[in-house]
Amino acid sequence: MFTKLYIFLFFSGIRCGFNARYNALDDFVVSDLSQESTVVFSVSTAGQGEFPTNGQEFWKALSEITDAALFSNVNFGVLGLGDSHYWPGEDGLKYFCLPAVELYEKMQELGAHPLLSIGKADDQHSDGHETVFSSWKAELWTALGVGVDPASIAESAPSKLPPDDVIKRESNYLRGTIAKGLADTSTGSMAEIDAKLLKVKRTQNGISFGLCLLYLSSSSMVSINRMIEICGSREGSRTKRRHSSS
Amino acid sequence: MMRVRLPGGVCTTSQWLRMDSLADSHGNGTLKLTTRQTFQMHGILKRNLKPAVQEVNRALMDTIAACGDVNRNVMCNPIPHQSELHGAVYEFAKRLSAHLTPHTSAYHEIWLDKQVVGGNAVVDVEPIYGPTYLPRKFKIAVAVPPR
Repeated sequence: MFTKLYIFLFFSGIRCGFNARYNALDDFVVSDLSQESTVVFSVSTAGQGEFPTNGQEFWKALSEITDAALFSNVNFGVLGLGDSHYWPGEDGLKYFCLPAVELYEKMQELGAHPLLSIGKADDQHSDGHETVFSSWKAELWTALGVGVDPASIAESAPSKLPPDDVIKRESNYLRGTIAKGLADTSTGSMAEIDAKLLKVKRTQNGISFGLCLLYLSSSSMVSINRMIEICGSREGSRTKRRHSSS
Repeated sequence: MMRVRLPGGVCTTSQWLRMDSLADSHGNGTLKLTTRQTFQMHGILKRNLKPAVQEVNRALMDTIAACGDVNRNVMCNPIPHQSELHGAVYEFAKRLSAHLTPHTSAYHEIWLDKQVVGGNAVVDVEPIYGPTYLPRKFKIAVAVPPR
């Protein structure tokens, strides 16, 4: 369940344009977390409120850190998964999502900023963890500045750019958000609309740009016809050469 | 991809050498000479773009309007020894290129880190192109007729 939810969040994040990756907790080098701007944890509950097997090393390492400012640049969210009635009696309730709660508190101790309050998904609900998860993830997307639920965005929805004239007019003399895009080191690409400003290029079927024929009054009809013949028979190479023309 | 504005395709030997080494240090090791008489480099990663553009400018060239809906690199007769007029035509091509180069200060601001006048008080004006530039690219070549 841990993996399923996490991967769902991951791909939803990718669809929103985040440069996201996902790891099991134990695959993180704990101190490297301070380099992340946003971390979303999804933690299931094992045993008597213990971390799951692939998160125990992580928790051990994290518990030993005491630097209260280590994660001051990190925003985070925690979703806990558990069962409020797994352990009988009043004591049982304190184990419910306990590792998630501990992680949520520890991250704040180390200076990290919660994006939203902890989500505690309870298997006791009639539709399981889904009840809390759906409202929690909606809150998460809002906190991350995403207006709509990414799951509702069709995967292949083509981006619709305004007409070139509008792009140019509104670009403030070809500025657009190029400078911002260059400064964004989280991706090697530029926004599609800025790529337009960097290089506005269209293909026009049937017209080969970059080719110039010069007819001189002194040229003989024979040489002109020969020229046309050569050009006509070399359509392939001419098209190819267009790519490196400017 | 980065393309240089180089009227008439004329550069000095030192400019050539700097482009050559730039292709190795910031590109994918290839330096193309285009059919419009200029340099073109491929495989420049985003993080290397700005340094590459700045190096081109330090070598006294630029990349303004080598792409886009504007007048492109102005060409002229590429074979100087065939025409004693080449010098004059080259000078004309340079003037033409300078005259038709966009006036926007965005280039200097984005690529050369020139400071923005406080509060964006100065608004750009494009006396020739206007705010929408051209509907499509425009290409000029200056030819020398045979004697």
